[in-house]
This record gives sequence, C-alpha cells and structure tokens, in this order.
Amino acid sequence: MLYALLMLGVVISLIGFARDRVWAMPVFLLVLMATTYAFVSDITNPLKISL
Amino acid sequence: MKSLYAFALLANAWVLLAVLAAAFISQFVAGEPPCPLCVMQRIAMMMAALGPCTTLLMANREGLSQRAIAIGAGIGILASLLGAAISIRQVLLHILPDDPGFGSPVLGYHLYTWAAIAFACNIAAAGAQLVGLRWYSGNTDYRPPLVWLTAMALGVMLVANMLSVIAEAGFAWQLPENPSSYLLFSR
Repeated sequence: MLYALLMLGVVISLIGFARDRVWAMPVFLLVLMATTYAFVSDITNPLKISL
Repeated sequence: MKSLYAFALLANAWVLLAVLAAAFISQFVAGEPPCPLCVMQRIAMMMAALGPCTTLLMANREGLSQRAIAIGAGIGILASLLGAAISIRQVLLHILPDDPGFGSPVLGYHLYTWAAIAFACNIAAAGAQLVGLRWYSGNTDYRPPLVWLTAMALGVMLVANMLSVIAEAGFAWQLPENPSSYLLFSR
C-alpha cells in the first residue's frame, strides 16, 4: 500500500502539471521526500542488516 | 534549436518509458514480482519521466521557454539522484563474486544495473538541456508535438504499476523482501 500511495502521489502531481496547478510541484517534492524516507528507512532497518 | 529541444524532450521521456515497459514486461514474462528496492526505482524513474513531461506540458500552454526547460530538468535531476542512489544500493548488495543477483538478467545486465545506467544518462541529458540554454532564448509560439500522447503514456504506466504493486502487496503496508507471488490473489 505504501508504494501504491507513492505512485498515486506521482499521478496527482502529473495531473497537476497537466492542468497548471500551483500544488503540483509541492506534491512532487512531497512524494520525492517520502520515497527518500522509505528508501533510507529500508536500508537502515536493523532487522534487515546482516553482516 | 526549438525542434532539437522538442526531440530531446520526447526522446528523454520515451526512453524512460521504454525502460519502465521493459521492466514491466520482464516482471510478467519471467514471473518475477519486483522487490521493494525495484519498486522504489520504478517510482523514481516515473518521477524522472515527469521532468520532460512537465516541460512538454508547459510548452504546450506557454511555448517552449527557458523556464519550462529548467523546471523539467530540475525535476529530472532530483528524481534521478534518488533513483541512482537506490539502484547503486541494489548493485552493491549483489556485488560479491558468485552472487547470482536478483531476478533474471536482461541483455547481460540485471534490471537494477540498467536502472543505474538509465539514471546516470538522465542526469547527463538534463545537464545537457540546461547547458544548451546558453544558445536558446526560448520561443513562446512553438508548441511541441505528441505532448498529450507522452503524458497519457506516463499516466498509463503509473496506473499499471500502481495496480501491479497493489496485487503484489495485497493489503499489507510493505512489500515482502523476496516476493514470489501476488499476495492479493493468494490465500
């Protein structure tokens, strides 16, 4: 569901850019930050780190 | 120069869409659902394709201006930096000798290696578009072709990937580490 929501954010951003809405860029940046957070939390998850 | 920019933007968007389509086809032909890092790379690649699409959509309204090119290139660079970090992380996970890697190779390389190459090329393409503004002052009358077709193709790709990831994760918040089936359809 997390990744589906991120993709939904990209869809909303694309619709915003297509319709020239001011909220399109903030939505894009929000999705970018959320994806970055998902990536960082994935690679720093202690349950997944194995040496 | 305006035609060159229009060609570069369309090529940029369609190459990224072709890489995404190849990953999608490989998912169903090889029967290998994507892992969480693969899905994040796809999200980053769709956001990178949003860059040239945004420039084309802005150019369709107000002409192909320097502003439109710069905004699209900025979006492409930001998304590609994130995508490159994710794909390089996955390359490093499988860099040890005798590691078979994740998934089947396509044309000799795994999909995450292709993704790393694609993100690097996309950053270079966006940089070249920005440098080219030295010789292009913008044209408010020029409307590039195939704008809506490109935006629609990206929209279809986004919705298809969204349905695929819902089928894969079911109602779980996260994807499994090494997915082998579609949880929505399994009991």
